Amino acid sequence: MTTASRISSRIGQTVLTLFIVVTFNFWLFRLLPGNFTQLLSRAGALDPAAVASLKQSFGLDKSPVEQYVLYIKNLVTFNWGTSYVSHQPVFQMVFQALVNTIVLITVAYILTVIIGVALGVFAGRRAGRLADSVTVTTSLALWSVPTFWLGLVLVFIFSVWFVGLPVSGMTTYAATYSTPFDQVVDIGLHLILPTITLVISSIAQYTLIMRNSLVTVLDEDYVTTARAKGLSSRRVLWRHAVPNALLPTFTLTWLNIGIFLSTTLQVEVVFSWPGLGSLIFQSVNQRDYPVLEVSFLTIAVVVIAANLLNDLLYPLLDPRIARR
Amino acid sequence: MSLLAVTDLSIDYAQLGGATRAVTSASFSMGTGSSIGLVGESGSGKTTLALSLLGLLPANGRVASGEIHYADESVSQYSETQWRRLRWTKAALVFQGGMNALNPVRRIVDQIVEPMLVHGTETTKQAATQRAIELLARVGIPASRARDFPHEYSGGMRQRAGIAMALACKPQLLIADEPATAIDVVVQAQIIRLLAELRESLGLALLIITHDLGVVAQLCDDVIVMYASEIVESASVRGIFHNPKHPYTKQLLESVPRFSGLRGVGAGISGQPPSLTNPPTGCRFHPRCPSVFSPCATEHPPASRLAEKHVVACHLYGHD
Repeated sequence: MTTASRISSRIGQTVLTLFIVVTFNFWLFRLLPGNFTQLLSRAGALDPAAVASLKQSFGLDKSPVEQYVLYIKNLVTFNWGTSYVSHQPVFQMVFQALVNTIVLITVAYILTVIIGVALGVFAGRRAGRLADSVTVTTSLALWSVPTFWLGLVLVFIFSVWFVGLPVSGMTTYAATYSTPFDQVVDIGLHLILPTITLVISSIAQYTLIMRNSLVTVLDEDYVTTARAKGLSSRRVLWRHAVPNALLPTFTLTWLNIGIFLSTTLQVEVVFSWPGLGSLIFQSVNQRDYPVLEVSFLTIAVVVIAANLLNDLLYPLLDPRIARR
Repeated sequence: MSLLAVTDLSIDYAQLGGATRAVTSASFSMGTGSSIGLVGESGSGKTTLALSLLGLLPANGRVASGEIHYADESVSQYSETQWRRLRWTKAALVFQGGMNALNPVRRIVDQIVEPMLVHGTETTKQAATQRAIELLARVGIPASRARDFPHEYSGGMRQRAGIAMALACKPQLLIADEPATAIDVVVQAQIIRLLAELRESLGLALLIITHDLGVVAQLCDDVIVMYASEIVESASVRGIFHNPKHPYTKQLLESVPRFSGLRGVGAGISGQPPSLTNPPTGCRFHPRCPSVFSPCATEHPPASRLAEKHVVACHLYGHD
């Protein structure tokens, strides 16, 4: 199979997956007992004519299949409705929140993976020794700490004992900036605590996978070959062992984006980061269904896109996949 | 002066509850262009012996006693840096089957170029690449395949590439661990022919580690038979094949299936190879030996020289 046809078939699969998710999303809510107008008419004595007009205005008088077609049409045309609460377009709200989440998750995830892999290499090449046990045990212990609790502890420490680092929000409230650079610095300061929380609570998986993968690779014949060639141990490690040991970690990195995203959503709530997590939390409390629907769909799209990226990028690391 | 001399070499592996001796008092020497086959069952210590020649023992392995000399230089006090300089320039390894001996994510040509640049035997990348392509051509791989990855090669090609890689820094000694195992017989024959031809044209010395006596017969001048970490018999190929002395060697030869027209399998050797953690007393082969007699279970057999090149460690011989 050529590269082009492989990529296009993979993208085709992704579009199909997306379509299934969207369909599932639609029918899931329609299959739930009760409907929106019942909820309204229960509150007061709503006469049947008013219910009928409500149904009409939301398109609920149409058959489910017609509603489904309309739903798909609205999705494709970015006509995603308005929030029940703020009456803003849902697209705008979710888009802004998504951008803020992406800022946080990008910084935190890159650091998590880099530090996790570095610790994994550190432990893996010292397998069985004290430094290895300490690294593995510590990262497992930190992994067991509930993320929201760790966040709360950090908020407490930095708002009571070491006042100075911002513990909430993405920017200083009502701040005015003399230069755009000042704004970046302000956002950067607000990023520190949520990032630390995320890195500490997620690092263990990368450390452990990288460590175990490196231990396995260091036993392979080609590592002995590399040593037999008279290469320095540093060169054997970084040129021969690590590139091979990275392969499982690389896949994990992409597959785990969904899990990391859900952790990020929790952390956002703790630190009032104005991202998807905070938006979902707020919308659940206010039963803001249009916002929720689009938020969930967005998360599904992010996870599917991550899987697609993994499949498209993996061949760059592993030539065995590239030409198949 | 010999190219490589091993004197009374013993190697231990540290384990919970004490050390296991993987090689016991091995001695042999190799001259320029000579060819020795190191034969024995799995676990007899032959691979450990080969790795120790390049200072590549695993972390828990160590040379307990004895000496290794390259030319007249002892390597017993070698630092890691000194070992690194010796590796690939004086002796190079060819691994079993070649399958995993090549790094799966790096191009073949780059893997051959690498030691040349590291050891400075070629100074520029261009010159090294040129030489790598020549070496590949020499083992029968066309230049168009040089930039392939290992998985794009067949098993035989990988083994050839492994041999080309071993020649990169012009070593005088090639240590080949099961060079013809795990590939089909036709390719096996080609690999053996290639090694023989390289030995001839480059004056390479070959140390062939194998359990395949056929390979030994075709490639080697001399044979060393190892059993349970010890050298039990060493002789010329002629001596081993036509006049084997040690009961283990005899049985090993009888295990080889023959195309005699009669159906049947080789006789084989009854029993299991002994544990090295807790080896049998006296002669280590005595529990499986058909000729066992009184001293075997208690006394360790001394080595006796039967002919100029023929040495055997067995109680059947040497008690005049």
